[in-house]
Amino acid sequence: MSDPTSQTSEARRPILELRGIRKAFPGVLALDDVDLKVFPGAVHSLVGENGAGKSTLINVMVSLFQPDIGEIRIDGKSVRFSRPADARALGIGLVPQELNLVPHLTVMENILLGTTPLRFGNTAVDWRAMRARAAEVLDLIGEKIDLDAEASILSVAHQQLVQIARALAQDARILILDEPTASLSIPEADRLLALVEQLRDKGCAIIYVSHRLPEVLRLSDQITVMRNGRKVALLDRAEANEAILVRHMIGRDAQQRDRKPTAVLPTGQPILEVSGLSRVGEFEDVSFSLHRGEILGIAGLIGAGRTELARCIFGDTRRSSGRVVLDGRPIEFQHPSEAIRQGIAYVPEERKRLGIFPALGVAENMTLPILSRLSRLFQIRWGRQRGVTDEFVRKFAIKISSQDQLIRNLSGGNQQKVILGRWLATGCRVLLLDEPTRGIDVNAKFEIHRILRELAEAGLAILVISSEFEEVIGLADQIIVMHEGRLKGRIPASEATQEKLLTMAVA
Amino acid sequence: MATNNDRPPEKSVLARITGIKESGIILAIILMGVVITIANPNFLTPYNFQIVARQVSFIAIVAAGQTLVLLLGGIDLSVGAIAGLSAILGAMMMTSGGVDPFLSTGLAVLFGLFCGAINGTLIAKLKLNAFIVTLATGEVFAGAILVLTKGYAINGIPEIFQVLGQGTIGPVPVPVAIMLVIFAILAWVTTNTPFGRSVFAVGGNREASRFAGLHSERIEIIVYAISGGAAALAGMMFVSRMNAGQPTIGASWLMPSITAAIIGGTSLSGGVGTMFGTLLGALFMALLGNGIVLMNVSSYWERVIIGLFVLIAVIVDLIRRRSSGLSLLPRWMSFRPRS
Repeated sequence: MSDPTSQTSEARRPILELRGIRKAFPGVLALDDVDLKVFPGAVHSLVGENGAGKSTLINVMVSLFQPDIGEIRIDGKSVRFSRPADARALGIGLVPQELNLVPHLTVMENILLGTTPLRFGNTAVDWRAMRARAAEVLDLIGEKIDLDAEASILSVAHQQLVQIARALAQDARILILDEPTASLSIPEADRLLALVEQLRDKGCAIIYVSHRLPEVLRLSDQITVMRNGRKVALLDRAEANEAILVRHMIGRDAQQRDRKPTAVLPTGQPILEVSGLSRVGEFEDVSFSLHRGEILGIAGLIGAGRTELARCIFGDTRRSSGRVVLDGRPIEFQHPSEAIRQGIAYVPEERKRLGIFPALGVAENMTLPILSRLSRLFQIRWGRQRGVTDEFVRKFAIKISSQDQLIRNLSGGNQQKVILGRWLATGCRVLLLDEPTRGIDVNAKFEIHRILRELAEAGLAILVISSEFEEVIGLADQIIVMHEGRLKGRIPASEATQEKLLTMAVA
Repeated sequence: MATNNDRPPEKSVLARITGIKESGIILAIILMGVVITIANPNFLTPYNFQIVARQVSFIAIVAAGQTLVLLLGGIDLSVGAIAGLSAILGAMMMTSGGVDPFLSTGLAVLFGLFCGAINGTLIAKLKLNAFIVTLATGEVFAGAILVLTKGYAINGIPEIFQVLGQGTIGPVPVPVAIMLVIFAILAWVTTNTPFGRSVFAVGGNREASRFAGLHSERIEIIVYAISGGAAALAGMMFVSRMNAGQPTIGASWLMPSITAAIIGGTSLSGGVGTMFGTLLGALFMALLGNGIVLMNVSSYWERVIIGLFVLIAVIVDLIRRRSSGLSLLPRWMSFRPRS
């Protein structure tokens, strides 16, 4: 065992050690007696379903939260943080899942936010030193990014790199990456993983949090699995595999996941027929058809124009040219409400920003598009609203304490189920889904997949955009692949493999 | 038969209108009432209540419209100017124009709706910042008052028109009755109608509301129009009360209209608040003013105390939002995203 973190090297001193961390919030024990050891030059991954306590643990490490009980040791010395700057000063850098760049500042200002070089007795920004330092840090990362570009125009992948650069500029010795690949395409994610390995080899201690188990298995020296606020397993890489991790995460064996759909070619008249659809600068000459009871997957990399395509069909944007036919009639919508009325629904990709109404309850979130239909003389009939909500809460087994519970207090999976309910309540015939399970824990993901299959069996036509090839293959009957706004091909899911899809998506 | 039995219980229409979140402000009002009564028993007289209620009605009506705008995540800085300009136009119509005073009132309210719709259109269609738009249009309207009046009051208001601001229905002053009707209607609209719930949805998450098929722009225009219409009505009531179209009508109404809503628990960030709360907030401010007089405190202190209460209300809102993970900044303070 030459692994630096295996038992034989227990003598090596961890750079960061958490002992017996406990953190309670009103009503929840978020962390219960959690230990964690992180070694320099090694990657320690944290995995667990949403709500397992990973985020709380991170927040304790960067001293956003104070633990109720427990000890944090850095370089063997016990430390007490009182504010985030303390953790930063000791070399802990966080790249949060939701990036916090300042959109209208330049790349170099963002990189050196908080460590801006000054001159004239610290009264003025030393722009030359800033440029040099930013270039130096970016060099470390090995990516060319225009130092003078505004952060807001960068791709998500580049924004992520800028965020990492910021942590490095602050001389972080312990780098915490929270779901860094969640919104990256596959090649981008690959590059990021390579960067993580490179930083590890330079001696950085990395704490890696991800839902994507293959990445975790590739990178990690050790893996801590959390469930319900507790550490349930600490595994060395050699003893971990995907099945073991999933079992620890959900506390039982995973259901058989990729139940292959029957690859019967759809026949009859398609319910949705798109031909030669283009929108300048977004996608070009896209044609496909979708039948009742069919799940059509759209695979591709981020930026391939899939989201733009769905939003155009949904009436959020206008097309430049092409035809969309719904049930034999050509359609062109000026506003999403028209699409909804015609039976097309769209579940957007960013649930928090575009999907939910955080300050409204479950029932209202579910029935917002159909409130007029539920009303008589402008008075909403609450009984009918309850009835509709109840129907989908049962059908999808949504866990809520009451129909008035605020949706922001639900887990991501339950939120997504509420939104699915919202669209089914409209009586839609075509459901467009954009990354329907992003950021949703394993269990809920299986459930949502099961729900979608059942809906398709009941005759709904479903279009699923997903950047996870595995998801598309497991869920769809037919898969079309997009690359840079154009359609690259269509294959039945039964013949698709991740490699095939990737080849089509990047070529 | 009993298929609905296992459904969770429903809230009644009334429970939705009154809400439950106003316990803090109710407690504050009761507490203040007790303190003032101890200091000066004259507080607990029907006469005093009539005065307080009449005083509060004008600003409360403006605040009702303002609350709707705040719920939407916007702000209307032009309410005072719209009230003033509509009132002047109404007063001119019924004096030099010879139009029936109540028809003039109707036309003035229509004008207020129109001014509000202009605000709403600029904000919704051109994606302009609500703060700036209403600051600018407010200046335009306020300036127009001076152009029209040259600073002189419009006198000769028909006597019959006095009923709107000075009359009573039984023991209840007419302005108070009008205020109660307006609040009842708007409370019902905000809590029980698709339009009202859409206001909360747009205010809570504008981008998501588009994907949910809501016509956020249309809703925005209507809300600003209602705000303008409410302000105009209050302005006309004040003309009746003063027997004159004074160029200063509405000049001091903007701050109290926002203050009443905030003290009543409406969040500046949109999506959270109630009409009932605003009514209580307006009542609280009126009682405070009244108490200061009755307790022989220098009335110079009134603004200091109200300012402090606004701070408290804002801090309470901030804490509530921070603990619940809602956005902290009002939309008009931040850059607007697309659509």
